[in-house]
Order: sequence, then structure tokens, then C-alpha cells
Amino acid sequence: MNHPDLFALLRGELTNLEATAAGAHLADCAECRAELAELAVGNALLSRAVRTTRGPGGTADPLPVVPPLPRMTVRRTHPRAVALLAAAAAVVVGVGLGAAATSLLGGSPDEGAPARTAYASVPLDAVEGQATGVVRMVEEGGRRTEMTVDAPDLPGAGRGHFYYAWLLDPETNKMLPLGQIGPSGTASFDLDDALLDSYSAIDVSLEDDDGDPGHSVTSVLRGSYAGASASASASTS
Amino acid sequence: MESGALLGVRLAGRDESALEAAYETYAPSLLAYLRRYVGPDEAEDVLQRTFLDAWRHAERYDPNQRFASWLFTIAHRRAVDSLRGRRHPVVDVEAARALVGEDGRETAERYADAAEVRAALDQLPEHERQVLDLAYYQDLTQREIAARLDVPLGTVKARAARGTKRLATLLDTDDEGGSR
Repeated sequence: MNHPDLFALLRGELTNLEATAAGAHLADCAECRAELAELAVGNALLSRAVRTTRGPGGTADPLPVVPPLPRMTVRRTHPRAVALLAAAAAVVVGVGLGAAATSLLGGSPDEGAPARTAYASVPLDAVEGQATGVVRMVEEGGRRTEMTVDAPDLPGAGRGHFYYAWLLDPETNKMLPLGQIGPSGTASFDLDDALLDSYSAIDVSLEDDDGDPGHSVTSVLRGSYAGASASASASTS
Repeated sequence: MESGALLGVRLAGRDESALEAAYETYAPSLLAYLRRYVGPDEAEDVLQRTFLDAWRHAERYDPNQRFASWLFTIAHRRAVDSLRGRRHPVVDVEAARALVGEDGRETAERYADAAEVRAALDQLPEHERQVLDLAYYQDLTQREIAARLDVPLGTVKARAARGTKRLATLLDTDDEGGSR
């Protein structure tokens, strides 16, 4: 007895006569039934994948060629590590907050007490263009943080344009306007920690000077400070 | 085949080679998805944001979740951001409907399925991969494939059957220990 071509059966390559004959064969042949069961799964997976990627025109477009993977320069590993890293940054940068940084290093961030992140340094990565930057977060006491954006290699905004900083919640895309970044690529903002905690990223956009108060389509820098704000160790997961 | 979940775990451990492997395996499928829903002009930008997010928030990857689903969920969010950020949305209504809301999540999940199949296909021995690609993605019959490749029909049949079974096995082990 000749076994039918089961792949052809699944793919609809058999004539009506051949297909019904294959059906009759399957009723009597356990070996073919087992084979068909195995083939049916692969066939189902492939058929569905093709249907998904098939364009409205009907043919499956070949997969596009992707640009090279952009360089990622995030050092952050875990909210708790941020506190340590931030403390280390404070020591390295040494901007007169030695006492706060030392007390943080001296304390144990694993204890139940909230990690008093006195100082954090969050990298801003390029979204569009090549420029990068850094946001320094300084605990001002009394639930306030001073955020200083420093992106000296931002190219000139050009006539009729300016750079603007925002707080961003990437989950909901909610944005809070902070203010304009000066021509030197720096700006400082004094923020309430509660407000800071309801966002998790800082975004710098290139805006047209057209009176429109909304965020333009062009983000140039973005960095996540999730886990880096003063009260974050309890609020991030 | 490296399991997607393992890739996710390595990524969470800040392994840059995992990022490269994830990009190589899934970026083409992600880009195809993004091109369809945000248009070719912005797709590459959204793809870049997707991987930036994946890298930044790699520690949020739950190994019980399918890695392809996790990536497509991020891509879906960034695609929605991109549409919302447009001042003058020039989006086809059908595409917008398939991107936003419940339909959008379903679409992303369907594309994640397709990407996983594509990734498994790429793991097959080249002879089998080629036959299945021609059969399914180019919609050729086995006879047409034999003519195209200039190999005996029996060889095509053997490769098609072996490849189809192997593909199912690859996806099966890929999900071992993981739930959807």
C-alpha cells in the first residue's frame, strides 16, 4: 500500500480524487495518522504566520532589511544599583555633596529604610541625531529635587526652533513640560518629588517656535530615571 | 535554537550579545509590523525606540512571558506613542484601528507569533528552510519548488515533511517552562 503525500494533502496540492483517497487511507493507517498529526502542527504555525505577514495585496512581503542596531549606553541594572551607582557618581563628580554621598555609601540600601538617593546621574540617550547628555538629580531636602539637564553636544536648534525638556511617563505617554534648554545645552529645574515620582523619564524635544504648547514630533534625547528619584526604591517595581 | 526566554534572561543580565541576537532575530519582523502600522517613514525610528526600551527595562522581562510577545508589546506601545505624537495624523483608519485598543494588542500578539515562527524557520537546516519558505511564503507547490530548485520531486517532499515536523518541535521546546 502506497502512503499518500500528507504534506501535499495539507497544502491543498492534491486533486479531489487523491485527497479523498488519502482520507480513506488514513482511516486504516495508524502510521500515516501519526505522521499527519506531526505535520499538521508545523503546517498550522506556518500558515498562520504567512497570513499575518501577508499584505493586503495577498503576497507575503519579504522581511525588510533593518538598519544597524543603535549603540546602547545604559549602565543601569536595577533600581537599587542605581542608588549605589549614583552615589559613586557623586563621589567622582564631587560637587560639594560629599556629606550626603558618604552617608549614602555608609548606610545599607538593603535595609527597610527608604534609600535616600541624594544624587543621581541619568544618561540621556539619542533618540534622533547623535547628541547625548546627562541629567543630574540633586536632593534638595523637603521632598524637592533639582534636575539639571546637561547636553553640551546638542547641535544648534536653528532659527525658529528651540530645545525643550519634559517629564514623561512612557506607560501612558503623559508629559509634563519643564522648560526650555538654553543655547549652551543646560537647564535646571526645581521639582517636587511627588511630581517626579509620577513620571519616570526625561525627554528633550526639538520644538518649532510656533506658539503650540504641545510636544512636537521630534524627541532628540531621552533617559529613564525610574528608580533613581529620592523615594523611588519603594515605588518602582 | 536559543529559546526566546533565555535570550530575555540574558538581556536582563545586561548581556550585549543577547541584545544583538534579539535584534538579529526579531528586528526584521518588528520592522515589518511597524512599517505597516506607523508607515515606512517612522518605522525605523520606532524600532530603535523599541530596542532602547527593551534594553533599558530588560530587568522587567518576566521569563514566564514569551520573549517575542514582550518585544512586540513594547513595539506596540511605541507605535501608539508615535501615532499620538503626530500633529497631523496621516494614518489610514484601518491601520489605526488595528493598532490602538484591544485590536492593537491582538495584532501585536499575532505578529509576535509570526515572528517566532520566522525565527524557528531560520534555525532549520538551509535545505529545509528554503523549501518551506518557497511553499508557504512564496505559495509554490512541491512540484513548482522542484522545478525552481532543479532537484527531484522526492527530495522536495522529504525536505518539506522533515522541515515542517522539525519546525513544530523547535517552537515546542522554545516554550518549555513558559506560559503565554
